[in-house]
Amino acid sequence: MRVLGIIIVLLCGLWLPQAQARPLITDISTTDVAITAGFSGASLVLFGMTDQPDGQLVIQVQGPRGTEIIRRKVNTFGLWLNREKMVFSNVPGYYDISSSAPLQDMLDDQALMQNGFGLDQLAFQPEMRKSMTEINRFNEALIQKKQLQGLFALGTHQIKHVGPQLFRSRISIPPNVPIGEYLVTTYLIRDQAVIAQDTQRLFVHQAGLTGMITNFAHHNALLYGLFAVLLAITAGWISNEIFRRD
Amino acid sequence: MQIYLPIAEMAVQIETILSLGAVVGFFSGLFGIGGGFLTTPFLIFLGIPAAVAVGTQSTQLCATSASGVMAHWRKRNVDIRMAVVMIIGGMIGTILGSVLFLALSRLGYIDVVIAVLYVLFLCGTGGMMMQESIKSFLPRAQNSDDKPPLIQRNKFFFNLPYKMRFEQSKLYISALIPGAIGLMAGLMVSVLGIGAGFLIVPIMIYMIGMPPLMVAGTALLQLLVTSAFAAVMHATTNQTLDLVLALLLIIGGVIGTQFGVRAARIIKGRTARILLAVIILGVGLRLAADLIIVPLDLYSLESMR
Repeated sequence: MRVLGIIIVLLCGLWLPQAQARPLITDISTTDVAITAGFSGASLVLFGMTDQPDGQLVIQVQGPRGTEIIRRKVNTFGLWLNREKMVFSNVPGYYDISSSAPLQDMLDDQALMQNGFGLDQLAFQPEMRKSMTEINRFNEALIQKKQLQGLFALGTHQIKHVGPQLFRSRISIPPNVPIGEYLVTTYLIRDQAVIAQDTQRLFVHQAGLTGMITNFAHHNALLYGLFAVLLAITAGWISNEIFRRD
Repeated sequence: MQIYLPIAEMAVQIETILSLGAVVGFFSGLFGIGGGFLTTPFLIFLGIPAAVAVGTQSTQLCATSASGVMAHWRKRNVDIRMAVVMIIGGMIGTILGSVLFLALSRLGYIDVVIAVLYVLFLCGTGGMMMQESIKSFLPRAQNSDDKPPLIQRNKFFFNLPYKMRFEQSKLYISALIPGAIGLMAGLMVSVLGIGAGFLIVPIMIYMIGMPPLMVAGTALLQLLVTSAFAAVMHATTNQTLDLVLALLLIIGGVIGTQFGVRAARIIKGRTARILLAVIILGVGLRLAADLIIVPLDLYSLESMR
């Protein structure tokens, strides 16, 4: 229903003069992803409209930024132990990218870098006092790990053009995503340059019993711990009564 | 069926966690051990963050040990006096352990220490128990049983001060001995995240000469108090206790424990011991292989939020 509503709004928008003043308008089917006990991922749809039928599009989804520690095992006295590590800050917890054409075809390397398009351009903040080759090695491993977890895109997805001015793209949220604010930014590109962009905010949060438990754990830690212990002892006692055989 | 874990921030298969709890609970009831050395590595293998695995499994230890203590209590197999002395030692050990943990983390040696100690303890005790069990199957085994336990043979242990009478165990020994065992267990709970039952139980049987049935009940009571303390510590200091994961482990665990306690009546002492030796040695060798064989993936990732 919501998707249908968006389509109607967007189609109406085609005929409204003030909408024509903005070269790019987007909306997503939901701005709120609730993680409950049965959460197994979510799928949303981004709809957009542009007044440039021959313009190209790029959509980036970026999760909340955090710090990642990547460790490497080194053979020391015959044992493989975690002996080297690198700390990266400003790493998005989720990254996905889609475009209407291959990135290299619409922008040159410098423009790609300036706009931060693609996994290679994600600006992680490496720890200081490490050599460039070291940083690159750890950076590459970090991206591979995140791709393995399904949190970083493996490649660029295709944006579907519904009509000359209307487009659509699917956003998949895997079940192990970090909670927080996600930014969904759409870029309109023409003649090797970004001429307009529009950002939608998406909130991924825990809800229901899951949310209550997390809240309890964070705001009332001592009580939460005692409750868990009490629950454990009660479970042990109940099972004992049930299985009792005198 | 999948369920989302609020603190671990990931989804897991309900059946997998229930079965893990049940298997560990079974061994817990059978041998009077906590089984943390089985749960923690397996949870980490499933992709659960190590801190959450260690923090959560202490509640499962609570449930299985509570269930076990009650079963042994009815048969009067708990030496409360012994347990209290061990618990006092255990509290001191837990506090000393957290100081040690912090110091080692600062120096950057904590991973190395944990990995190596795990392998040493598991392979060491597993190997010793295996040797002991094999000997007991040999025909000339009887005379080794007639030998008095170490603390009665050894002058140093025999002459230690603060002698106490432990009526239920029929022992008159220095309180420092069970206190030291408790202290060691507390150290291992806070540094390695394991209840160390597999170490305590043989020491109490072979070195102190406590009746084996009394050992299981007493060690479980000591484990109940230590793990409850550890669970509250993990919940308050690191907030790494996942209630949903804990509940699944507990449900599986308490059911498994009851079957384990029943199986303990059927499986004879030395058969049970050889079985435990095989399990401990198996986990130890598996972890040793991880240290020695060239890893497929040299990198590991930890997300801070």
